[in-house]
Amino acid sequence: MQIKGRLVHPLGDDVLRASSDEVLVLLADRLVKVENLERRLGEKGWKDSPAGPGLRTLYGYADWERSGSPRVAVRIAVCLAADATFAPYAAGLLRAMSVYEASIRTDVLSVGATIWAWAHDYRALAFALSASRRAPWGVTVGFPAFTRLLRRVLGEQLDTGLGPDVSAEIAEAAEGLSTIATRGIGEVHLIGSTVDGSIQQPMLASLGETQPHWLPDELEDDAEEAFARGAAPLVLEALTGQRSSEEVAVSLESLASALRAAKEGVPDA
Amino acid sequence: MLELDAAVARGALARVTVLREERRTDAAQIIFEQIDSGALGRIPRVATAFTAEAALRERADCERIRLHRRRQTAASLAAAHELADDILARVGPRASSPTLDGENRLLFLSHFATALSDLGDETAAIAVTEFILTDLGQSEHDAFAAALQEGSRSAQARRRIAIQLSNLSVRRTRLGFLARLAGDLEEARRLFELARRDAEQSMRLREGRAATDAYLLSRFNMLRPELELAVAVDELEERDRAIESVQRELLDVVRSSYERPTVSPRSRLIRAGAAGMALVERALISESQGDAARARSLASTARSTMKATVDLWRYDTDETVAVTVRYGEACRLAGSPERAERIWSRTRDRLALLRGETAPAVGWLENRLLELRGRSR
Repeated sequence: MQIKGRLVHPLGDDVLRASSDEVLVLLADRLVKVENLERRLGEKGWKDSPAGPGLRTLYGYADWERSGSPRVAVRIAVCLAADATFAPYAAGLLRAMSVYEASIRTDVLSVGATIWAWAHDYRALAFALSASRRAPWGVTVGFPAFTRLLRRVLGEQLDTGLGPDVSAEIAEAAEGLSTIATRGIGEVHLIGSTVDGSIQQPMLASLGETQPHWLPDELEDDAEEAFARGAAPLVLEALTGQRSSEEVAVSLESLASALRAAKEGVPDA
Repeated sequence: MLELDAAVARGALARVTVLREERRTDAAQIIFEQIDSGALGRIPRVATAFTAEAALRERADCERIRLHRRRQTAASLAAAHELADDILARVGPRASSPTLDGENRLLFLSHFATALSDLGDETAAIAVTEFILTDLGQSEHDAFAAALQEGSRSAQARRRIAIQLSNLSVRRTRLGFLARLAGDLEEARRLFELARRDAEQSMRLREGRAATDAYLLSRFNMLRPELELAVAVDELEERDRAIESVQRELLDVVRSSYERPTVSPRSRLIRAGAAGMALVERALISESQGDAARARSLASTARSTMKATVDLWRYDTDETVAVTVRYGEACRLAGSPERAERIWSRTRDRLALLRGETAPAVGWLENRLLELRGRSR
């Protein structure tokens, strides 16, 4: 979007320098344009439009409500408000990520946590956004700001320019994760909902299914997690008597040595 | 609505929380210091009550406590306790003019109770959790859980109350074990019975979702105080039978945990470790009865079952005293007194740092170490 001739980056860099009034002016301008469009097309125009009843705008579906009038303007207003308010949260996350780089898993969890933090601070808006991104036939479409953030985060990890072109995979993954997040924030107002249950774990599960080779780096990176994964089946074997405790102890000690080596030689317990 | 720079800080704080939860404390600390200094957004130092700024300020201070705790020095723990007292005064159950209200206050207090528990202040954590439950309308009467089962609109309330009851059960069990080490058996029993009641209520609230991880967790949390109550039975044979009964149920929970791919390896190890604790207690009974061979056999299995969890806690200070004390006994009975000494010394040092040199549990460990060294000589 444009404010006073400057290109406003959707991830918030320039929004940070714009005043709230300028953003509101832009929002009002967009709403007027949409209302004019609706008035020009009219009820018949919407129905007969090339995209049919499933007309999809950048900001959601032009669903035909029972009252007979589309609520596109409301959906657009919600999405623009979400854009403007989410931008600084995303900017904060990106700056924090530039201070310390971590694994893809950590980055995806961080994006989920940031989205949830914003949704928690703007509960009504988050619920409305989630609803506005849900098509009449039940499909949720990811919110563009979330998708762009995820593309950037995944791109910085994977699109190094040295290997094969993974931009298509990144785009697809970002859209999928964004869809999960957009759906998940619809639960933020529910008592008992958690970022872990509503967003983070579903995102990791999705990535684990669609792009499992992006996640194993976490095991190489996290010696404790690798130790826990290796030790857990051995412990069950000892507990259930499938193997003798002495045999298991030898295997566990081998894993523990690897853990100590990774942690640089802390004395044994 | 947060001002822009506060919103930037909020986004960055989300990263700090994730890194801390992943045990990357140094990285979390570096980013937090940038946020705190104003280089990465702005955390309000003073905020009008009931605003988004007030919520951000409390959340940031809570994160500060968690980071202090991970540094594990006397100075950092003292700073964490001081901060915790400030937050309690501002937002806690007894705050005369709380800075947060309604849902925001309850959500924050839920996080804060976890931080208090992390800091070893289980008593304060329990008080905060009880306040949350009272506010949610939870009742101690048996009919409460049954009444809440009806109607889909109560599903949300059930879930939230179940989580808080589960937390309460864990905290009371932890405190109960420390009371036992301090020699206050009556207080220990009272706490274990309350912990069992809390976990039972949590389970009943999740009964409609018996195939879930949450229900399994509630069941595990109920068996923990059950084990401790079984250990408190006076007569040795009866005690052994009571512990064996709990051990069978724990084994069932462990098997279910391994069958569910959504249960993490760490959780599986913790639950297997609890089954190991039951084995240790039965090994101690065998030792009392003069059956050294049986004691050694049970202790060997227990040691293999618990070792992995204890090894992980070498780097992660969130260890459970009930586990490390019993692991030491397992090592001793299995013929490795030097390992017992090492683990008890480590637990003693960490407890002293967290609860003070004069804490009764610290004294118990010191006596146990003296006995062990005397026996070794």
